[in-house]
Amino acid sequence: MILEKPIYDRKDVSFNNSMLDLNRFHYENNPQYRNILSGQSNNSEVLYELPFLHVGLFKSLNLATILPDQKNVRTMQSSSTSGIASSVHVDAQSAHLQAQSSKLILEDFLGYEFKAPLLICDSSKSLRGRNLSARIMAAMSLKPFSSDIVFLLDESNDAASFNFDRLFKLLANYDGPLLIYGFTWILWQVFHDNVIPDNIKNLLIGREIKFVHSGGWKKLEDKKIDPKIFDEFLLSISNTPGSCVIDYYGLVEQMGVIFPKCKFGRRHVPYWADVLVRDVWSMDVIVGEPGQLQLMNCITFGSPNHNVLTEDLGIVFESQCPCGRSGKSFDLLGRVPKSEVRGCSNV
Amino acid sequence: MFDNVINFKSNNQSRSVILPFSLAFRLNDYSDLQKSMIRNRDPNFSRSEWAYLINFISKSNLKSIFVKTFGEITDIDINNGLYYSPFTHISVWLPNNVSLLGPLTVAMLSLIGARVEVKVGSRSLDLVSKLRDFIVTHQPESKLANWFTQEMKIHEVDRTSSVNKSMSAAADVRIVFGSNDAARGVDLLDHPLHSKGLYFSDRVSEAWISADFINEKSVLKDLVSVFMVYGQAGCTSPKRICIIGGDSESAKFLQNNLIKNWESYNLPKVEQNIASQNILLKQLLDAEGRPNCLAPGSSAVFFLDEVNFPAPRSNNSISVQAGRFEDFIESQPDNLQTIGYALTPNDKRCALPLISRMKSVSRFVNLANMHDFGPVWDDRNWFLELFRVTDVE
Repeated sequence: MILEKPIYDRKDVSFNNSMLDLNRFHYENNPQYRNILSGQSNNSEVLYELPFLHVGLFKSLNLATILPDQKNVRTMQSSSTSGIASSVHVDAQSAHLQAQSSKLILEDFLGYEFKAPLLICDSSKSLRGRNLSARIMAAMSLKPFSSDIVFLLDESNDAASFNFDRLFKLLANYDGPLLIYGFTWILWQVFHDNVIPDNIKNLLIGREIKFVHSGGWKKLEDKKIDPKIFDEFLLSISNTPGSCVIDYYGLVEQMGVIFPKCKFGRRHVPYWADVLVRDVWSMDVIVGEPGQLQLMNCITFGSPNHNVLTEDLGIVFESQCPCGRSGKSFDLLGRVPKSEVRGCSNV
Repeated sequence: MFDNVINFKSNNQSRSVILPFSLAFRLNDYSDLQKSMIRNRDPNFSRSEWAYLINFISKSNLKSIFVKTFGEITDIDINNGLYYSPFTHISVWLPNNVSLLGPLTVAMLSLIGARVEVKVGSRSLDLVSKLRDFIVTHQPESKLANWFTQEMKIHEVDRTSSVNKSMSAAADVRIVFGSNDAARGVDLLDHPLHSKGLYFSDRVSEAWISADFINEKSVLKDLVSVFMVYGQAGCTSPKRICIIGGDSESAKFLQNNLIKNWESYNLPKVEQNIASQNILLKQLLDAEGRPNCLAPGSSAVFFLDEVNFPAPRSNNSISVQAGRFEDFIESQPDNLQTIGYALTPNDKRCALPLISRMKSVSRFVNLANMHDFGPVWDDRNWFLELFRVTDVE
């Protein structure tokens, strides 16, 4: 399979067929997946009738699709707010396709020729070990756009471990644009909650900076930081035209398929993926109204996470986006709200 | 005879209850409240909670609380025997979950006129204050409203607050609904030497259905109705369905039957996160190879299980097991509270002598009545314990 531009021109028949093939692949090679599908239709030609897996399964089960000659299977884990991480397996073929996918998508937002030092709001220690976190993988998806990689923190998850000397050393010897990545809340903590020394501030002002973040807003809700406040603050660091803040949505269960927000607030779906909105009561697919997002892609071979029902709320737009990107678009509306437990016992 | 003295007779024993007000007038106030509640539902209560509360505050039910506790009401003037007068200060700790226990308990306490302090969950919707607000809105001039506003005080604090200490220090009776830890915590607070602690803590329940009834529509409706009120989160909700005298085929049959008739139960839509949880659980069970059914509207999951007392898999899921009485009794936990039954006369006859072998069962009731709260609860006549007794010759 080759992924190529233009990335938003939908080829529905081709995508449908790819999804059917992928379903069949996982069904034939993954006994647990076969069990799960035992009660569902696996032969439908209709996309929205294809069986999906609930994302929660990847927190509880090891759902690897193992082939005898499979090479270089790695386990990726999510960064979970619930405390239990999801795990998915990525084989060599999937890794290659996923890297291609994220590169093509990011290129559409960063620009084909863009290359700059990549500053990561994480520690280099995150690269150690066989099982990599989704966070570091998200950062590494920007590697094709980097001329150099600098880890800003000495300890992961600790914004206060910001190594100013390391950043100063780079900035003092380099005049060009920067690419900065972090999980949304860490990016905020690193640049807002730390007292940035003046010598660094002065070297950031006037410089084109592209901030890229993912991970959601949950941890910033308590501080009442919304996207507008977030973006305005980050852009004030450089105060330069050409700087931008790119917020993308992605899941470890849909590795490589990311959905940056365009300037009109929509997230666009590349032709090797699809997004549906489900009513979880009736299981109907709904358009134009909020519901639970179901994400699909045909580049996932290591685990059957090619078709997942998330617990994120979203809405698929019916009209074409003014940004000019063709095909389907959607937006995120938050997480499925947790209802209050009614009753006298603990469950 | 005073309006606020009520005489009872039971097994040749005479009892007089002396209240600080006329019970008849209090019951009239509740009767008027009932009418208001039928006309207007407070949106903070679910439909089933509101319907239950309306029934609970009926004159006949509230009167029955006294009858169950003291005996039949008699007009005969009694000059000797046991005189019961209510303790004057009662403190109540309620669980953190949203629970109807609060409104039910304060309704019962309002029948004795004590001063009541209620600690409600600090992180959840407080239905006691919603009931109070409803009464004040619809019956502002009533003595009942006066009791709810002047004699009842609500504290929305957490367990570390010093209010807990003052509640315990002031109370003649401490009532706790909650976890074992919560009850222990209250018990350790300083309290008057002769005060009482009534602790209603971690208990669980189950449903017993005769194999002959797995196709009985009324039984299936009762089972679903009783389960779907709170799912696994009610102490009186069944944690498992036990088919007496059945096998795996009957368990499967019951499971499928419950789903087949689902629309006829007229249940409200479940919350979105519950529906999503149920979809997830169904797939987990499928992965395990465990037969299961997802109810329409993703409302609940029923799954087949070996005989055991299971930990809940999710709030709206329940295991269906088949076996003999002995199998279920052997697998019961130590804190079983209620068995809701739908048994043939023969099965019930066999069950009754076995109750003595059950570790802790305090209620053996019809399936439809599993959630019925009353003056006898968790092995004690707690309503009786709200009164001091004077022996009069």
